[in-house]
Order: sequence, then structure tokens, then C-alpha cells
Amino acid sequence: MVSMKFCNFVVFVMGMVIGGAIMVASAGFPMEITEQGPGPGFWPFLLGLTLTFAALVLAVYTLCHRQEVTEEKVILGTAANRQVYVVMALIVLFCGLIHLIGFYVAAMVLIPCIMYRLECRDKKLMLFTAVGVTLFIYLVFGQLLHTSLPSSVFLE
Amino acid sequence: MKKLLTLLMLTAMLLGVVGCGGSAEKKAAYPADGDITVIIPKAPGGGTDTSARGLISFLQKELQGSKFVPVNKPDGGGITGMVELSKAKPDGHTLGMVTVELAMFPHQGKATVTNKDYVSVCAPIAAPAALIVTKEAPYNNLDEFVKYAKDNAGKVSMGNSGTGAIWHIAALNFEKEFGVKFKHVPYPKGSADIAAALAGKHIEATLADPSVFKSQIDAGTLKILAVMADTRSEFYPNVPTFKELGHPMAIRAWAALVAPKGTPKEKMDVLRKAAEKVCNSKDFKDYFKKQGIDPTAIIGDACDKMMADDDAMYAKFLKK
Amino acid sequence: MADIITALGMIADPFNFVCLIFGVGVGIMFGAMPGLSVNMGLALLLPLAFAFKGMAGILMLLGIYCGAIYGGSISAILLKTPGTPASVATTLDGYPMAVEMRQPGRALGLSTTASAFGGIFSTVCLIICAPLLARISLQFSKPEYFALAVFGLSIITSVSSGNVIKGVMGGIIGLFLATVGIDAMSGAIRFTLNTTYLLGGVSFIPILIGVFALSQTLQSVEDCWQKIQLQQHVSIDNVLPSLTDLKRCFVTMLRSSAIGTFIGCIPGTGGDIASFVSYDQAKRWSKHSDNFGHGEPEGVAAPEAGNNAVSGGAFIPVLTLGIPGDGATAIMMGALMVQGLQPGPLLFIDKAPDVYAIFIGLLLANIIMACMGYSLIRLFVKLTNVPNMILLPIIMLMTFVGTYSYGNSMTDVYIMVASGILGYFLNKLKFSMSAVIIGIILGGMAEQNFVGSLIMSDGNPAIFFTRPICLFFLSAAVISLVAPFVMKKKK
Repeated sequence: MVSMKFCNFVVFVMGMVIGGAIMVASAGFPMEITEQGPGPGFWPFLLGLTLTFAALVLAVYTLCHRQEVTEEKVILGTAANRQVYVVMALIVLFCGLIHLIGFYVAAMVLIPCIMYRLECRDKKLMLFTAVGVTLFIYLVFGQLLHTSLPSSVFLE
Repeated sequence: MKKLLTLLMLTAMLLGVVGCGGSAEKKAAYPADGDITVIIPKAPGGGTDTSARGLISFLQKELQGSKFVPVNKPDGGGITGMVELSKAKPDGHTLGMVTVELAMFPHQGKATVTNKDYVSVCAPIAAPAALIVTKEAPYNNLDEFVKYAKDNAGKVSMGNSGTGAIWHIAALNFEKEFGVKFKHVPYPKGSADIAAALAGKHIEATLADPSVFKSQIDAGTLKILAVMADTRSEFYPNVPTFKELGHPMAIRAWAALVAPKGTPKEKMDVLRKAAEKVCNSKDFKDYFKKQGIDPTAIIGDACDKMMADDDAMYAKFLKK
Repeated sequence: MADIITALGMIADPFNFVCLIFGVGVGIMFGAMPGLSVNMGLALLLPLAFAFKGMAGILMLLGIYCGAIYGGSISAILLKTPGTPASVATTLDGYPMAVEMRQPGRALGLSTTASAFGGIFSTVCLIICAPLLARISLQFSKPEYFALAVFGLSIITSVSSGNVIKGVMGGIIGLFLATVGIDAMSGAIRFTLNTTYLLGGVSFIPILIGVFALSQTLQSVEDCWQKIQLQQHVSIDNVLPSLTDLKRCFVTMLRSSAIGTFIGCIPGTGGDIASFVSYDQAKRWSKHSDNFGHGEPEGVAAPEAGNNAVSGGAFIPVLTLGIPGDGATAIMMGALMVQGLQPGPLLFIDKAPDVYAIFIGLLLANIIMACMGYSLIRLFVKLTNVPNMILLPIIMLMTFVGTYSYGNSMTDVYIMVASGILGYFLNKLKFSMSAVIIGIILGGMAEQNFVGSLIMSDGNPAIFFTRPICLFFLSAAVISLVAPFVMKKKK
């Protein structure tokens, strides 16, 4: 369990960094307001400035409300969270898998995996869902709407 | 659990292979021997997209048994789609639309593909830049407009669809040709916004594709003074071309159906012959005319030449 | 009068009527599926519309248009995923009502009623005062668009139920993301990290799907493991909204419909801005403003009435000036022209029966949409009773399919996944994802019109303060931002 105070601090730092980066990047473009209007760097610079300012305000707010902010917890480390991280990893793997074995096949692999992680142990249900959904996508998106979902790199 | 997963994967792979093998059964002649993907590097519903889909449906009717599948790829301002097309297998089953931006982007540092990466089938639309002004404007023809612009250097507001985009380039060309200076006001969301701005009298003129302004011009709220084309527009037969008035400028926003370079000549010939028939047919012309667009029938080599000419023109103009 | 009878005859033709119903059905489906947009549906069925003779094709397109704006609310309410950008605001109260208060039927019923109300209201405005509204819309030039964008952005403070500062930060990030790509005002290439993909700007729909659908699914996975069974055998009492709800929301629906009609008739603005402004105004004027964000019925009715009211409003510039009110109407204009109807000032004079047919078609489309909506509510709610272990993997897969259908690009999919994962963490940190999305949607409009106004005034900022409409919206924005703090002080 992480306290919101710590998280706010992280956000503050990131805000300053990102705001600063935006300002530096925009400074590379012309910024003066001429007869042709402001240069392309003007607006992003303004945004970067406001972001940095907002980050500072956040820091001040956090310090002022130190008590309640420390009590507020951000749930990041429980068992439930870990399951989410596993699912995230599965999804990222899925992206890679799409390239390897094609979308439809990868989909039929992904669905049972996620269902398993959600405590489903009914094999028939997993098979049925996987095949059913993939078939539905194939019929509606593949055939009807002609969306050609990626196929395996090996088949190209 | 492991056994079931393995079983699933094997079944899936089998299905995949069978599916692929199955489609190779049809051994008909090109183009009926498989789907032809047409990459449209714009979002669905826009001008290029509807014209492309129209052209494809006519071609499909003409080439019996063929199936054209339009695929929208609006990413990267359309450049991603054009690049992908240039890298596609040149077997006649991947075609795509390219627009006049292809001739401009390489010289603006925005893209690396040029017209040399493609062979063209046809260009169904090539909208010329037209000088359109408000009804109350004190000028009624090109010369009066130029004189007014010279008297009010830097004050006449000229709307365009974005700095660096085609209509802005057209306006810059105009400035160079006639020795005038405008105030360029970009309307990035497109010509419809320019039409609204003209109707509301927030700008004074624009050089753009006249089809968007047709209803206003017909109703009399806007005036069209001249057209940058080789021949007069069928919709506005009383409007002179820049060429007639002594200034041979031709800036067109074209969209062309092309194939990647290296596509075999026989297949290109099949497509070009069909395109020739389609573009000269009455139904095709009616389809576009009813939308206020002047259709063109620039086929094959003539289309290649147009793309090359425009590329050379923009190279000269943009590499200042 | 004779023209109206002719128009009624056109609609009564069974084939035309069937086309209308078909269109509404297709529209609802396209709207409900994130990644499939109104424009996509219209573009796909355009060839069909051309093939049909007479009004059939136009009626079908009208049906798609009205249905799609409504359809987005279905996934917004049930899955916290807006099916179209115009339904983002509906997630704010629709999802809490469906899930926390276990009243998905009520939420869907309210949304259907409000959508139909908004659509019919705007069609009536179209019929009665189109020329007047068109004249007002012509007054809008770049300063007014900028002021409208600022006004729209000011709702970030309403929408950040967590922490206003973080909401503002999110909004700024969104505004910044909108600047990536080719700057249309100067031609400069900004922040593209030398990639071709970013040249066209940050793709908005993949981020929308990722940040709403995927991160919500991840959150549901967590809730599942916490054994928080939120969707457990919800019963439907009534499909139609109760009288109390109707009384509570009537003024809101009226106000939101007016806002939506007005925004619709301004060319270049659409359902997304209308729904945000309607939501914001509903919250500011409501007696129950504290309940917003927790399942407040007004919070569902307002954005839905607002976004559907755009449908009639967007036709005002089309029929009076020949200028499209938004992207979808631009497509429909093409269809109108192919049928021989030249939209513009001459249309009313030359082809009155067809114009009346369009009016009646719009009215009917909204009624049919309401009927379909009501009849499908029970079905939709049954879907929420599907156990999470089946539903969540399916939704995850559909986010991929939806994103890919949008632009046929795997890069979009990667962005979607990244946004989803990032969104999960940002939600934990009490950032408001809606604020980021609002920033992305309105960023372009705000900056381009700001810069454009200064171009038109030769660099003189006074232009923002000398034009009445512009000044009005800017002041409204400032008041909107400041009012909550002033009210708090009074308390």
C-alpha cells in the first residue's frame, strides 16, 4: 500500500519534468507573435508552463493537506493487483503473438488464458467461448466489414 | 490443462492453414483470382474516400468476378498508407489511392516516397484551384481582383486548408505570378470551413476546389472568377480559365488509383483498360457530376505524366 | 400543405420505411461498438444509398446518423466505454448508475428517452427556425470558435471528481497531445520524434478505447479478485423512466437539447462538444450537483440529449447554406446531391417535398430509435449478468478488434494497449481520464482558432474582447471555472 502523499510527490516530479521538457522542446520553434500570428512554439510553451505551474500547486496542496493525504492509500501491491499485472503481461504477449501466429489463432489462445486467470476451470466453457467469439469476429468483422485482421508473419 | 491448451492451439493452427489453403483454390484469371485490396490513406467519409469508393464500385462492375476491398489507413496524415502501398507486393492485388500531396510532401521533408514508386491506373478526380470571392466584393474578374490585391497589399484575406497544403501553395503561386501579397488564413478542418467563412464574410477570397462551394455559387452568395485548369469547367462554362487570361497555371488536387512499382504490365493493362471504359461511361460521370465534382478521365501513362509533372513543379516551387 | 402530404407519401412507401428502420438498427450497432464510427458506417453504406432510387437511401443514412449517436451510450453505460466520442460524458454518470446503483435499466431508459427528446427537439428547431439559427451560426469566426473551445475546456473542473489540480494536469497533457504532428497553421512539424506515424497527430480513437475500455477491464479484473461482485443478477423493473425521473430531468433535457441544437448548427463542431457542455451546464444548474459522478439521472440525460440534438442542428447549415455542420452531414450532403437535391438556399424553393421528407425522416428516425432502444434494454441488461470471467476476455478482445477496425494499423493497437495500462495506473492516482480526452478533442480547435484569430487581427489580441459572441463564451468559461470556488467559500 502506497500513500497518496508519495504518489502525489511522484506526480509532482513527473509534472515538472514533462512540463520542463515540453517547454524546452517548444523553444526550438519560433515563438514570437508576429503579423502572421504566434509561432508554432507559442502554444505548446504556454502549455508546458501551465503544467509546471499546476505541478507546483499540487505540491503545495499536498503539503497543506499532509494529514489526509498520507492516510489516503493507493492500492498497488495487493494480490488482486498482482493478478491485474499478470493480465497486463498476457495482453502485451498477445500483441506479439498476433504477429507470430495471426490474430484469430492468437485470440483463441488468449481467451482461455484470461478465463483461467479469472478462476474459470470449466474446460468446455473456455473452449466454447474461445471458438464462439473468434467465429463471431470472423463473420462480422472479417467477412461483413472486410476488416483484414493481421495474419501470421510466417504466412505472408 | 496443458493438454487442452495444446489441443486448442493445434486445432486453431489447422483451421488457419486450411483457411489459407482454401482461398488458393480459385484459379481464375486476373483480376478475379483473389481480393484486391485498395489502400485509402484518408479517413472514411472524406472527399478522397467517397471518390475512391465510387471508382472502385464502378471498376468492380466492369471487371466481372473481381472483388475490390477498400481499406482506410488515415495514420500519419496518410503517409503511412502511401508508404505501405509502395512496399506492398507488386502482384496486382494491392492497389491504393494517392493524392497530390504525394507530389508535395517529399519536397517539404514530410515523406520519402515519390511518384516514381508507383504506376498509375487512373485519376478520377483532379479538382482545379478556383478563385472564389464574396458576392459583395468590388471585383468581378481576375484583373480587377489583382488590381485590388495590389492596392491592398497584405490585407486581402485568402483562406486555405492549411499552411503547406495544396491550396496554400496555389495561393503562393498566385502571389508569385501576379506580384501580389495576401494575408493567408488557414482553415485546417477543410474547405467546408472556408465556405462558412466566406459566407459569413470573415475572409475575402479563396483559391480552392469549387465543388464544395457549388451551392453557394449557384445561389449567388459567392462569385467564382477564374479556374486554374486547361479547359473550362462544365459547371461554370462562363468562367474563364487562368490559361485563357494569359497565365497558364494549373494547380489541381488530384487523387489517383495506383499500384506499387513493378506490378506486371499485363495486369496494369487489364486495370487501365477497365478504367478507360469506366471513366468515359455516362454513369460514372453522372455519379460525380451530381456531387458537383468535375470527373476526369486521366488514364495510365497520361496519369503517370501528370504525377511526374506536378512533382517537378512542386520541386521547383518548394525548394526555394 | 400539398408538399407535406407528398412527403408523407414518400415515407409511407414500405421500402423507404424499411430502409429507415434498417439504417437506425445499423447506426445503433456502429455507435455501440468502440472503434466503429458514424462516418465509417455512413461511408460503408453510401454505395447502397446511391443504388436505391428516391429517398430510400437518404432515409437510411438519416437512420444511421441518429442511431449511431444514441448507440454510443449503450457501451458507455454498460461498459464505461464510449462507443463514440460523443458519449464520453455519458460514462460519468451512466456507468455508476448501472454498476454502483445496480440500475442499468434505468440508465439505459433515461439515455434512450433523452436521446429521442434531443433529436426531436432539434428537428423541430430545424423546421421552425432554421434560417434564424443559420444566420447566427454565420457570425462564428475564429475568435468565436476559440471561445467555444475554451468554454468546452472549462468543464474539466466539473469532470475531475477526484482532484481538480490533477484534472487540470490531465487536460493540459491532452491539449499537448493534440499539438503533435504537422501544425496546420504554420506548416511546422512538431514533436513527432521523427516517426511517420506521429506526423498525422496522436491517434485519438485508440487512446479513447484504451483509456476507457481496457483500463476499466483491468480494474474489473482487480475487482473480480477482490470478490466485489458488482454485476450480480440485476433485475429490471421498468424499461421506461419513472415519472419522478422525468420530472427531475425535464428542464435538463430541455436545456441540453437547446445547447446541442445550437452547437450542431455551428459548422465544424459536433456531438462531443455538445455532450460536454450539456453535462457541465446541467451540473452547474442542478439542485443535485453533488450527486453528479455517482449516478445522477440528470448526468445521464444531459449529455445524451445534447449529443442527439446535434443531429437536427447539423442539418441547419446543410439545408440553408449548403455547408455541412459536421463530418457525418458532409457525407450525407453527397448523398443528397446524387439524388438531385442540391443543399443550399435554393433547396427549399425548388424541392420542398423532399425537404419535408427529410424533416419527417429525422423525426421518425428518433422515434424508431427510441422504440428499438426500449425493446433492447432488457436484452442489454441480460448481457451484464454474464459472468465476468466470460465477459472480460471478450471485451479485451473487442478492444483490439475495434482499434484495428478504425485505422487498420497495429501501431494504433500498441498505443491502445499502452494507454490502457497507463490509464489503469492514472485512475488509481485519481486522475480523470475524461479530462485528458477532453483536452485531446478540443486541443486542436482551441489552438488553431487562437492562432487563426491572431492572424486575422494581425497579431492584435484585442480581437477576443471586441467581438460580442466571443466575449460571451469567454466570460461564461471564466464564470464556470470560478463559480465553484466562490460557492464553496459562501458555504
